[in-house]
Amino acid sequence: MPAVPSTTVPPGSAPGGAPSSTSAGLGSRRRRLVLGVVACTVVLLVAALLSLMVGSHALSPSAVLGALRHYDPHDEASLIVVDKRLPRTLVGVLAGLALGLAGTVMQGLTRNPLADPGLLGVNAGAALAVVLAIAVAGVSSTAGYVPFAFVGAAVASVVVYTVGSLGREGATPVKLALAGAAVSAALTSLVTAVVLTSNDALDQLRFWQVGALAGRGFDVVWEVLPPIAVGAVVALGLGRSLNGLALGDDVARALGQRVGLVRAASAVAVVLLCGAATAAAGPIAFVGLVVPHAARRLVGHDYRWILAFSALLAPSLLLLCDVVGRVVAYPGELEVGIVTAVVGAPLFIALVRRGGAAGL
Amino acid sequence: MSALSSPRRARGRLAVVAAGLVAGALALAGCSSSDDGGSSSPTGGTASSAGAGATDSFPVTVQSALGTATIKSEPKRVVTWGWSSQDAVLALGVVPVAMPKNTYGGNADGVLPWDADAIKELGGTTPQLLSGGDTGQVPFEEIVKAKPDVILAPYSGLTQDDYDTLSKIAPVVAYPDKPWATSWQDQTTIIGKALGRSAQAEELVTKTNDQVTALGAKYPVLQGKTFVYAAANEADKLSIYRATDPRVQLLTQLGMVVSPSVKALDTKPDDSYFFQVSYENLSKIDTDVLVAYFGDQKAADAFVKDPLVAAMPSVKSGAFAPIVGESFVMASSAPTVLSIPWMLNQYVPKLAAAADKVK
Repeated sequence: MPAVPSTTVPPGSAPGGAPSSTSAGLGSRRRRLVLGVVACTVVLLVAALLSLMVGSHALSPSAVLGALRHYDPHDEASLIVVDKRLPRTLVGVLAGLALGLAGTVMQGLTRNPLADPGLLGVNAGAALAVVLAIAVAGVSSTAGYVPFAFVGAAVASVVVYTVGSLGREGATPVKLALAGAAVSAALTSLVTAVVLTSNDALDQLRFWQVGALAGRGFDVVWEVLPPIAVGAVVALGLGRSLNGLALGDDVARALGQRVGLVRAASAVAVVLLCGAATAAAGPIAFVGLVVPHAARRLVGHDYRWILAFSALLAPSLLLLCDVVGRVVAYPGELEVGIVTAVVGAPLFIALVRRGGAAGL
Repeated sequence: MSALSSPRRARGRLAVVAAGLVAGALALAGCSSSDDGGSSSPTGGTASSAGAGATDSFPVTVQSALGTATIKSEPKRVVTWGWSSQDAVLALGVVPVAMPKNTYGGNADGVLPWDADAIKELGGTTPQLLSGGDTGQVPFEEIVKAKPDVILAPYSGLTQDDYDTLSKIAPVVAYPDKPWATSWQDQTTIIGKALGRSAQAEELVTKTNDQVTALGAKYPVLQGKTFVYAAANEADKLSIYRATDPRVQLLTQLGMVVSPSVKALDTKPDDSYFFQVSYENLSKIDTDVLVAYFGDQKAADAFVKDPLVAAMPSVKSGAFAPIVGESFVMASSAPTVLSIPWMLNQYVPKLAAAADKVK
């Protein structure tokens, strides 16, 4: 009598004979993905370590470790490592994590491989809020910009989402992209208007807009930690829903998904994450665009894994770019926004040319 | 049906609000006011020569790094561009018909205090104020409207394209060697030559030089002290001005010396007028006095609060001479035959006090 056909072994084949659709194959795929996550975590840890060890002023590893273990305000290494590099690394991890997750969610939400998290008007909204903070409220510290930038990003995204939701179908990807582009253009012209009338605003905005991790202290870390934490939880929980959404709205609805709710939750996650990242470090290009692409090439189309890999690879990329910026322009530094653009553009072109953009 | 239409009505209301917001944003953007170029009359300046008029013979040719200007007769309508050129023009007794608007350090109209004083003394009216001084974009149409006989820009960042375009309007005098690296003495001499008042210009330069040297001699504590002239514009970075910058030259004229440690940090000494140093490298700066400018006291306070800045020996000992206040900053950043007398009596005692604290 033949064995009861199991779901894992194709009927008729001997147990252990293994075409790739066996559980052994599925198990090994899962194992590979888990190993991949572990590997990415190691990469992130290495990047964070480099961010502490390497800088414009060369410090020996023992000096760095000594400073971390025992903070001495009279020792230069302590001041550099603990007061500058440590919060900078933390902001880099948080901002990178936020951008990677936001980019992935954004691309899933809009089914558009070119969707940057800034598409929802986040960058323009944050810039306008920062410029108004400088011109009207006289704010001049990087930490002081953070709440304004975050509120500006949130308000801009709400406007974009609302405008994109008008009409029968709600916030379809095309409408969101169009609304985002239009609102960004309008807000950017407002930014220019303010900048033309306020010296301080022009003076400080031109530096903020480059996107940098330098000059961000622990106060910035605490300010952006709550929205990023909440946004990250929401984003990571959206993996399954984004998989459904990728099949198209009608199929997703047919499968029982509440498309409107998923879209709203995705937008909230993007606003929290991208808004906080932009508020912390200024607008940083390419990280939210390139990393989900690379993750998709590595892990396939399952959003749960793409989110996990993006969350680990994006901060690594950001920190490594920051480290590069610290050493190439001695005795000065290059802002991380410049390095990510220089590194990200060719990387993105290479990824797209290898056909990785097909299929979401 | 009604259950379906009320969300639609709600969405409809939202649509009106959102559309209104976007339209308002777009309208505001579209209504950005045009620059002030049209407000003051193009005949704002009269070439009223207080004292002697032009003493040289025309035509005069003035060389510059971007080309040669041939000025056929004494210019009556003078337009200046870049920094500080209007000061020398006014000091030589000519009121320009157009000059850049100085929103930083200027009065409500955008005119620097010492310029406003000079214009009043010469009995002229406020010139047409050109926009674009902040961004460096030359306002060609405004300059055409001013109908210049000559365009003076010896301390500016004109590009070759700008120079060629402006030359179609009037002869242009640009910087002799590098952009933004013309000393105030050279500016005055060049402008004097272009206006046919070389002898007057030389007198002015000598008089101002003597003022500076005398004040330096009055404070012997300054002699030989090393200094670094910096600006903290960007987070965690210090911009250090090179020896070609007029700010630095003024201090060396007072008897101070540029810190050699800064020369050691400078990897591209022939580059522009400043270079950047990360805060991580501040300990490599070894200087007696640190000089830096700030728009207001709040910025100066925030600067010294940074732990790496506070650890600098000059800051710790108090040998830190901050220049605070926009007009004051402008006067010391763009020293000229007019701004030097205006601010020197305030500026040098502050420097001397800082130099006193050097251990």
